[in-house]
Amino acid sequence: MNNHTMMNELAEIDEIEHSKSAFAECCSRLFRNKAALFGLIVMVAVILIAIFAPLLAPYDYAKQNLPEMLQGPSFEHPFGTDEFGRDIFSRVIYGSRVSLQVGFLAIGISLLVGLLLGSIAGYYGGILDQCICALMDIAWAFPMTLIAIAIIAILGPGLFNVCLAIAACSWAAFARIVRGQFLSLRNQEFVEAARVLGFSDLRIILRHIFPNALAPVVVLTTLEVPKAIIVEATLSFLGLGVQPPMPSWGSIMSSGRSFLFDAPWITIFPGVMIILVVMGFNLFGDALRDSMDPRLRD
Amino acid sequence: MSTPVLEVNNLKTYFFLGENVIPAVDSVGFSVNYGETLGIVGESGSGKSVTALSIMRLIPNPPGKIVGGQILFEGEDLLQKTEEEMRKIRGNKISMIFQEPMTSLNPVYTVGSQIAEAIILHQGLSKKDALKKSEQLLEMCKVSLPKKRLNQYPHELSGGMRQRVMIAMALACDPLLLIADEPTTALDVTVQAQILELMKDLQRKTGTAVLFITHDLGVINEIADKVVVMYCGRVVECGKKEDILKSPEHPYTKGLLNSIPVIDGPKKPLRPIRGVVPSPNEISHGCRFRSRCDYVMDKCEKEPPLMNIGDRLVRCWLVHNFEK
Repeated sequence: MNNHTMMNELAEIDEIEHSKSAFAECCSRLFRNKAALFGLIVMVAVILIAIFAPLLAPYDYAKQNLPEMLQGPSFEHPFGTDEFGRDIFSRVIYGSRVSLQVGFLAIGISLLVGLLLGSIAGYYGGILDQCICALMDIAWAFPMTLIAIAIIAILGPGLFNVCLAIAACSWAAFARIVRGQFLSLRNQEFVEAARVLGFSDLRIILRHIFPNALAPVVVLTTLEVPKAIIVEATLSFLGLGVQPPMPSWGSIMSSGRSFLFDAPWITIFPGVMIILVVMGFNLFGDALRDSMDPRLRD
Repeated sequence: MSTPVLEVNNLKTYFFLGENVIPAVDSVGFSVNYGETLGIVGESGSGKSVTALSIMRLIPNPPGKIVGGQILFEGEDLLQKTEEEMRKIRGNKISMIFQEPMTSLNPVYTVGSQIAEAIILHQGLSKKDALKKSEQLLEMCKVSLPKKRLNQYPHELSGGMRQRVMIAMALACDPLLLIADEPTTALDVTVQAQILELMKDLQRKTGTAVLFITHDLGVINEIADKVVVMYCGRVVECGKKEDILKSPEHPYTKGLLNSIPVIDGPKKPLRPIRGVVPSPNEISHGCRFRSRCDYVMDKCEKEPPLMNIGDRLVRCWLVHNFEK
């Protein structure tokens, strides 16, 4: 018996050394990755810029100042001015609000729809699953930009409509990945065990399967947000996004198109911002995926 | 004799796969008295686990369906209950433990919150009281340092420890019947012995009836009072443990006993049963064991009924002459 207790204590010492939580381990692996750190800094910086836009912007984004039109970058106007003499720096700062709002709102809607439909399809299977899969295939089959243009044509331009248009395509990616997770998880023994304990379907889905299905969804989210930002920029470039005088990176680039050789700064700076932000999100998302993949553990 | 806690009569669970109908459990019947342990033995595919899931009413439908019979639990037919009523019975009055302790616990919750969840749901205790009870349960299941275990995640525990946690979870609401589906198969022998010892001990304390499913006759010898031997969805022999292990009547039971390696005693070659278990839909008529039986005769073209020999039931023509 004495021997037995000793064994237990030994086992316990062993366990303490290994009991660093999976989350902490994942984080430490993530932050050893330089690219991920860069991505995270860019993400946080853009979010802060968007939140504090009124404090950061030196000028009113909509105020026209014709005498100073089409000026190159200078101390007064770090990013130069456009054809109405508006400060590009201030417009780019305010433009981050639109990009992020659309990015998060559109992906938020997609996430909700995708989680709901994906979990129903994966958990219950059968005819419901087939119907939802058919819907997913339809949404997959169209290029995102094309279907977004079509939806904007019906609903009319505007921030919220852009979000809906983007969500109409990107929900399928979430639904698919959630369905896959549910398919593999619903036959796990701990789900069976939950059923045996008399838990209801809703409880099993929400409390027992869902948290286990979350990791790839988080990764997908960080990879889908930049896609939505690009589609928003595209739509605004085509004049289908947010309407003037509200600035969006896409629409600023679009207005600089006519002065591409005389005033390239109008197009360059918002373009650089789009590249930076999209790259930041993508780098972070990729690194997140790698750090969550147990097979890549060192 | 008082009424048994569980009485299964003529249970038929079939699987419908396209054109094929597979009678995974065919006219199975047995009973378990309060506080008693019934062992169900059989090879893989003999319908043991399907029987257990049928009692829980958790046969995946489609393709499976319980097409007939009765499952009387405390005199009430479980097959007549609504899903809602069944949920109140599962985990509360009947609970179940599984073969794979490594995957039977949810990896994202601590041991404590998993045990407590069922207690909160079925008994309406507060979270604090439920956790306190969980600690007592872990202690009862001889888990070392129960207080610490409550806050640990399943991946931090060993296989034997997790199986103890599973048993604690199953016993959380003082069930009348515990279904154990090969609970020791995935564990190594020393841990297996500890778990069996624990289950016997707990049964003495709590008086829970146990339906113990296994393919290991050694385990049956340890724990069971009565034994049901199943083959291809049929009960082939059923009776007291001592009778069946000492003097098996059915050729299949004899075969199973001959397949066990003996450590002590003279070394002799093992005599396994030849062939493999056929799928129940491959046999259209006659005795289901006849393709593998050493004593097969012409009469076996017709399926023998379960015959009463003394105080046991045997489904074989060999014992036909002794029937009383």
